[in-house]
Amino acid sequence: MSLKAELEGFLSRLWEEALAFGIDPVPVDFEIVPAHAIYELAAYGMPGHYSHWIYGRDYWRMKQRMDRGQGRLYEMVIDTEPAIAYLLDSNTVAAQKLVMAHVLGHADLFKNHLLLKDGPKQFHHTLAASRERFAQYAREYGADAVEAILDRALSIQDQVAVEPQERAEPTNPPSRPNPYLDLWGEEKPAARRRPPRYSLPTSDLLGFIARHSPVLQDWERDVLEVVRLEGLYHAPKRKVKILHEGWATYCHHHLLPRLELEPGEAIEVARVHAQVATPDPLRLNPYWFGWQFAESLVEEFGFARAREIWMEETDAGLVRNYLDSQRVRRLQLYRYRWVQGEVRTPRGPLPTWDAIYEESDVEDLRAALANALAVGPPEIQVVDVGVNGVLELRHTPDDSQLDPEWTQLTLEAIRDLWGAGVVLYDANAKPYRVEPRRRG
Amino acid sequence: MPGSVSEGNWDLAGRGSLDQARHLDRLREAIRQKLPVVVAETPLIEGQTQKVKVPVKVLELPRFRPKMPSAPTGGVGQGPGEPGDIIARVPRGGQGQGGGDQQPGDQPGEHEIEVELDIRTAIAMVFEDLQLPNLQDRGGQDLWRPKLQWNSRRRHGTLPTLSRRATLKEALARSLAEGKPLNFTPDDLRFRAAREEPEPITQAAIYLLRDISGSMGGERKYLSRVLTFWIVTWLRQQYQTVAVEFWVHDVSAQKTDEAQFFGLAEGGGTLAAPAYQAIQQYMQVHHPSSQWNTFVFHFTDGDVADGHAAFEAAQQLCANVRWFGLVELQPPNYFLHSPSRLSHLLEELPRPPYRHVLLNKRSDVLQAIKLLLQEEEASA
Repeated sequence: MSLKAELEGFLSRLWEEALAFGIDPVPVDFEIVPAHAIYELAAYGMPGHYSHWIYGRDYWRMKQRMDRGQGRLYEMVIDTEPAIAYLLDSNTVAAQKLVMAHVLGHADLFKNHLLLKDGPKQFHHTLAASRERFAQYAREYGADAVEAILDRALSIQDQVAVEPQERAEPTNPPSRPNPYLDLWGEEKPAARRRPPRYSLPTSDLLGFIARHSPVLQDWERDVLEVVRLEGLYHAPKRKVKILHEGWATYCHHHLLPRLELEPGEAIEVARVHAQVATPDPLRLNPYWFGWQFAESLVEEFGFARAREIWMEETDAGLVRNYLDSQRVRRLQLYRYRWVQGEVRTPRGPLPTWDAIYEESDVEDLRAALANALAVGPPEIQVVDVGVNGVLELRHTPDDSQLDPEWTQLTLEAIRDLWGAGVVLYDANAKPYRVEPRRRG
Repeated sequence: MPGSVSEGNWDLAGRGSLDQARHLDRLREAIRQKLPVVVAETPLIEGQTQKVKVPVKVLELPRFRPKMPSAPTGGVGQGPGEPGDIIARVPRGGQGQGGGDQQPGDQPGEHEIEVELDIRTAIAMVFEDLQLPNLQDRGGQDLWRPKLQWNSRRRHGTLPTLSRRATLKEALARSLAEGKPLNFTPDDLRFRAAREEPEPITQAAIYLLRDISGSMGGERKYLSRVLTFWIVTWLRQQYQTVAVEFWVHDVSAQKTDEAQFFGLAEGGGTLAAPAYQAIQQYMQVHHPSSQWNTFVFHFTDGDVADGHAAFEAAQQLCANVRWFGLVELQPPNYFLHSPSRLSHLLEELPRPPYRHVLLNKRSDVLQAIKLLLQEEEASA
């Protein structure tokens, strides 16, 4: 029996068990692909993706790391309808089965999680279409021009938001001039340029520039809109990483024993599971932490209620609302801090950083963990367009400060897209300024 | 409806490598700046087929990001333990864990990656950057030597040297002149013959002389190693045959091999004059300047105990070599570039062939190569 036939047979049994178990996944198309394909998909994040050098860089770094044996990507799963899951062709058959059960957990979240279920489910087609258009732009305006605009747009890909439509009166789409108008001898209405109306403030910096920048050409606006859509697509996924991996691990852990495996496969399954879901002394391993958290919720509330909670929380919310002292003990959680230490070696003392296990109460630990999980990219708001078209931005205060050098360089990218000066006020109202580019 | 299983379909096929090539393009400048010093481990004599690994920092796009704390703070972990336990220990290097002092954008980011390059590609990149002119053939009879060229004809010779084409031509011409059909006579025979013609000498001998007195270890050994690589590589590109001679000296000079050249170290004082004399004597026997283009490079910290004798020995050497380069390796934090005793002694040598570079840090290697390998105008 070929591998494909065996896995197909396994999939239909797995699917029945999954429904009986009580999850409701979106159907999944599994593709068995070689390792470099997995690296590629992980670097680009999506099939159909357009080209840019940063993805080539990520692909290469991943390949170098994996080729050295630092980690392994068993699968890569995409939130589409049907979902697409890529399986590494060098996995053992048992590992493929575990990964397939694992993927159904992801697929359950894709279909039912509050933040994910209404997201775009054909985004790979959107990207594939834009890839064609970008290639056309490269032929028409030059690959360097496309790269220049992508460099800048990707710099602010995280500064996007979905906001209510702008207040501005609906402007009629530019209609073609009526070729017969002059037959009546009518006066042409003078083309009057309406000052643009903005709905401000807005956190959708990239969208604002794409729509209102006075210097961009239409194809450049199109590039910006695609980058913005991609930013919006990825934003909610950052908030549910632990939920995703935890649920997927919970599902494979409970689904596989319900299925008959070949003799010997159970050992391989246990080996892979143990390799992936293991506690990490220095950071949360989402597989282990999420899985154990899910187990504890099911014990406390029963499967149905636990799954409901799971489908409406974020990583940070889960910790804030459900991490009590019992769970802290069960998950063996602790805070630590780095202190400077020293070890003696034959060649003299070697300076070290030592991580010290700290005593801390549940409240502190919960707050620290929830805050850390809630950290997203800095929020930058457009507050006004000032004299000489200067774009005025504000950093919405959060716990952190902006890195000054990176901020200045990012503002230069914004200046190039905006075509005029840019000023950003940070949380302490300290301004960063970028002058418009000199012409000639 | 559970979905499906299929094999081998993914949409991005090959895109990663293409975009990686573009990424490498953008890294080119960073690689080029690193190249001169990453060749240190490459052997000089048979190093031409290897790969070099160039560590470069990855490129990042600028973005809004929080300021990194200057020292690592802490976090939340999982596992057994008691308050006060040390749960992990990492060496504290120069950059620590924060690493927030890096520049984004076209400046390197905080992560390093390794680019593997073919050594030939690497060499081409460096020399392209240096834009060194090719060496001119030096005029004068001493760099020409006679060579037999088979480009002449004669009437007598041995049968294997018979030129059938020339013979046929002769026979045709004679037969036509006589108004007879084509026939051959012994007088028609023509034979190929060799004539002596001058040919430029395309062989070079490089004498690498290293001062092994105590102060020439560590970084200075490394720098001399890097520099010798580029010197030998460059001259290899200029001449068909290149012989490399390794010499070391303290108060006396000694011929060695490549491994010992970099490995040897002695204490005590050092003299330059005996080394110059020894090289000169050896050179006259093995690489006479009538047959060879000779190059001498002396790697030293310049802290010699010589008197005027060093100048005289060097002057004699200069009369017989094409270049005589003094590479002065100073301690990394040497206060100002004040000339050493040796370079002071040799100041009056004719230029060319004398040339002199000071080197004390890796970032200056490229400049030093350029100064050392530049063909000077022979106006002096």
